[in-house]
Amino acid sequence: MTSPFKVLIALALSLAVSVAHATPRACEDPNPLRFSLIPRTDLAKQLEEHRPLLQHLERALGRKVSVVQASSYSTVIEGLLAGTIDLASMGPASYSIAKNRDPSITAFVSWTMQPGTFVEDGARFYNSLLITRRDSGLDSVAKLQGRNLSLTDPASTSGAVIPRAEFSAQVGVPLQDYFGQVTFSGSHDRSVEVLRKGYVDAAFVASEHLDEVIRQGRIKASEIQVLWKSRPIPHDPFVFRGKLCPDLQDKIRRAFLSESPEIKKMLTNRKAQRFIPVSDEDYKALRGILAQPQ
Amino acid sequence: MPILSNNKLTRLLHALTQNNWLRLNASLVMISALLLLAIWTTTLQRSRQEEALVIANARTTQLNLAIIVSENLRQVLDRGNLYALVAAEWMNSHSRSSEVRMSTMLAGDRAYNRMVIHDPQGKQLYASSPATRNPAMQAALDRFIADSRGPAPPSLRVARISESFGETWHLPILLRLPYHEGALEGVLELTLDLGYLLRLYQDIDIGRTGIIQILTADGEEIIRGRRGGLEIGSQDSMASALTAIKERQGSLEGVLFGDNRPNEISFQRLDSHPLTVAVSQEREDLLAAFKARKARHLTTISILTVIVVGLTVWGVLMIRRQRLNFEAIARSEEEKRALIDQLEEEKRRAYELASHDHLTGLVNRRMFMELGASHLARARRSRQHYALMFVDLDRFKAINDSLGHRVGDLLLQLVGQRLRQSLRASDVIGRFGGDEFVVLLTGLEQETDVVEIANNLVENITRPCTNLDGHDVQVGLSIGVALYPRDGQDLDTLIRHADAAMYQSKKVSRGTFTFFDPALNVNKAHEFDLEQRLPKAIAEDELILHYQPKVDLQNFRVVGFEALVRWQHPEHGLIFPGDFIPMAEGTGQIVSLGNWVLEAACRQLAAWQNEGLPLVPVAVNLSARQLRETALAARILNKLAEYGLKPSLLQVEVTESSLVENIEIAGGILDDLVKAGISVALDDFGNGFSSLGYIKTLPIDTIKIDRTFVRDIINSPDDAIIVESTIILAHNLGMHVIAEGIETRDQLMHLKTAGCDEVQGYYFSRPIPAAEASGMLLQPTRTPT
Repeated sequence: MTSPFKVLIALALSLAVSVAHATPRACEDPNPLRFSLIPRTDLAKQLEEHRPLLQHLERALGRKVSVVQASSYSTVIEGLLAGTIDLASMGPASYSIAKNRDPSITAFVSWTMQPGTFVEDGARFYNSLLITRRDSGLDSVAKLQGRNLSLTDPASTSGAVIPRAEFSAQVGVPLQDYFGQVTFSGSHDRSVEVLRKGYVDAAFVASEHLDEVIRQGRIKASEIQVLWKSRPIPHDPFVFRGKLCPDLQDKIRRAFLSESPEIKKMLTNRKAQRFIPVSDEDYKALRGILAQPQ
Repeated sequence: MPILSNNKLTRLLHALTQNNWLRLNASLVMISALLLLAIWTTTLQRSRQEEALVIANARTTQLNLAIIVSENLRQVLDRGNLYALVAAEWMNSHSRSSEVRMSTMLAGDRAYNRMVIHDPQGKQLYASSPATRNPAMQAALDRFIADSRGPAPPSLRVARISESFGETWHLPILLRLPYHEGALEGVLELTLDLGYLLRLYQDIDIGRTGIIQILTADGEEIIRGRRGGLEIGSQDSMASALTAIKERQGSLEGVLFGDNRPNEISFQRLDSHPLTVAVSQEREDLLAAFKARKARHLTTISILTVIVVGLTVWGVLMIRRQRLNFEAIARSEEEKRALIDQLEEEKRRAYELASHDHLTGLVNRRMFMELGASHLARARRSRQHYALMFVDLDRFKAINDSLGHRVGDLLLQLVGQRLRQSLRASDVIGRFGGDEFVVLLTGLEQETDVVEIANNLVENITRPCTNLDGHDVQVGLSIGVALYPRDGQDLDTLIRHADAAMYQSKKVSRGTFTFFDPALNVNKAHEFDLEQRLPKAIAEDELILHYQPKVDLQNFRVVGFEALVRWQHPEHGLIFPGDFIPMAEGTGQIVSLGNWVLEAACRQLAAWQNEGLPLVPVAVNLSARQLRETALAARILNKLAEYGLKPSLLQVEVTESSLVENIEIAGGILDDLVKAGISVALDDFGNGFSSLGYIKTLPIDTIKIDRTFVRDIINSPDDAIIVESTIILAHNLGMHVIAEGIETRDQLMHLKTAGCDEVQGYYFSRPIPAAEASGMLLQPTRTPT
């Protein structure tokens, strides 16, 4: 394995990195490649799900892939913008926020999810759902006035951005005026959890995440009811920095779209069906929402 | 007994006066009230303590949490100083390596995710990521720069969070560059990712209303964490609650959001940074469990209170009822008591009336019978003598008729007085009505005392009675005497016999007394008269024989008679042998008298024999004079033969003295008689000087124990021993023993036990005329009663 050729390549690459550091204008070919993902559930679990993907990437890209732990969506955004994260799994909104600040950031793939209670088979979209516990008796949006609401992360598409824009527009007042306490739980998992525990009366969550929580048995579909459903939202994109060398970008793109078993494994882990190529066009609508004044 | 216990009850009831009842009630109420007071005081006090404890515990927990959060916050903020050092270095060099270092630090930092370096004018020199500055942030930066040039330059300031989507969780922190003292070189702007803080504390459950706040030094809220996560919303100020407090840490009660809900707030100020961490919970929430418990306790003791009050009321009612009952009982007891007293008084008076003669004040018949009976019951165990006297005034009716009832009554009263004066207090004196008085003489030492007492009575009562309603009167009286137990063992018999004797007395001569037992009456006929008259009496058959049966103690059958002579004097009535035998002995007429007796006895035996009656031997007494006649035995035998009687049908009784006078002749006579089959009995044994040893030389086969021994056999151990040993000795000598003078059942039983063969006495029968004796032959069994 330690052939002189490979050693040469490695030397050349390290040289390239140091050159890249020395001259910021040139394209970047980072080694290791720094990967991060927005918090969805606990980090260890998320990493475990993505490990086949990372393994596949390491092999396909011929370099190590390190993982940057994100405290929030913001960590990923700032990391991409600061150049400390090269590749990331993001939400449509967080992608759009980053894209607004650095147009070179590119969404290149997304996926279709396996069908579930709330996600349609093969759909390229999901929804933000306003849910309550069925036993709470809160069976209409009107009844939720003054009630406590759980959002996810300020940068979460279905857990904060869409509700704050679309739902607010619908009810005519900002969320914090319509509801009582409005709290950010940090993740979809946690939003469902605090709803289940009764800490809050309602929560906005992503339909695909709700499906997952149901699949895991942490709540039954019969225990909750959906009072509101957003317009379709495109699925989460994988993005990379625009400063990455085009060759690397290409390799990454191809690695995702390959039919390798690791990719399949990872998709299965994530209850996804397959990767599909996307472009920035797919998320433009959201960028419009985010550009609106609050 | 019930009356006695009722008395006790009454006393008890009286003791329970109104006051005591009230005191009882008051005590009950007081005890209940104290009990309730104690229960309520304890419960409320404990409740207060528990509440204080809940709050104290909550404050401790809050404060601990505040300390941990503030310490964590301090560490995060201190890290900002590191960035400031690197930024200062970059300011000096603007080198690529400084940039790389800053970028690397930021990439590995989970708390900070962005850094911007400004020059002293607020112009951006470096940013880790591109962004458009919002106006609020710019204003904060300008203010910080201005303040940094002021007299008290801040080293660190936390700016406001932007509300734009991407920056909601961006907490901007401004630091002065360089960190060390000196002129302002620049300002470092760091962005703290609140997601970092959320992830640290998201699993801490501080309850429904629990809040963790990070506040500026002015008490302005920066962020607010709840159980559900980080809260966005109105930025209420805690200034009012906390600015006044200068302590580093502490707890207080305050209202947080203008919702008038009191909160328990604990806070901790950071030492090195102008921040405060506050942890608060609504008191309602903290105390919910406690209040539920308290409500349960209060409910319980409320129920308890109702029960106690109910029981007390019940108790008071019960006491009241008891009191009414007791009072009713007491009243009824008093009424009963009064009734009983009244009844007793009436009974006493009735008894007085019923038992006493109103005229004389003596006891009446009924009372007399009662007292007499009790005396007689005592008499049975006594050696003393008792006598019953029947006293009747002579010619009282005439006095009554001629002088009037008034005088009669006065006379009776006087007689009553005199009777009382003449007799001892222990004697019982009664008036049976009319002029009949009855006296029971008690505890006399000897029988002869009766004579003296009777004489005394006659003398006293027959004294003249002066001025009875203006009349002087003198009455005679007749007294009949019956002796106990000789004349009767019970009061009725004694009275009957005394009455009979009284009539005898009246008949013979008024103004004297007569014994029922004729043998005791001293005949007042002159001995001279009798002496003259006796031969004629013998010749003209004025004498008669009475027969007293002898009863065998084995089968209580009559086994013989003793023939006793009586003189039916035409003037003096029945004269007993005591009155004429000694005289006859003195004049020698005893021989003809004895012959007459022998003749009469044989004649009677022959008569019974002819009638075909079952015969028993008849005993005749032989006098000393008779026993001098050598031919006596032959004459007796001839007489028997003359009447065709077997010799065994005759018995002779001799006295010891009659033998002593001429022992040779008498012994010969007796020998002859015994040989012929006539049995010989020694009469009055025990009175003389003879001993059995002497007697055994004589042909005597029967001994008759004198009545004087028999009389006291019950009460005198000496007499009893004499009688018993006599019987034993006599039996040892082969003799028969007869006891005389049996008057009571006790005597009878004693003698039977001692082994006596036969008895003779009033107990079975007094001497009776021949006609009655024949009846006894037909029905010989005398069952003791």
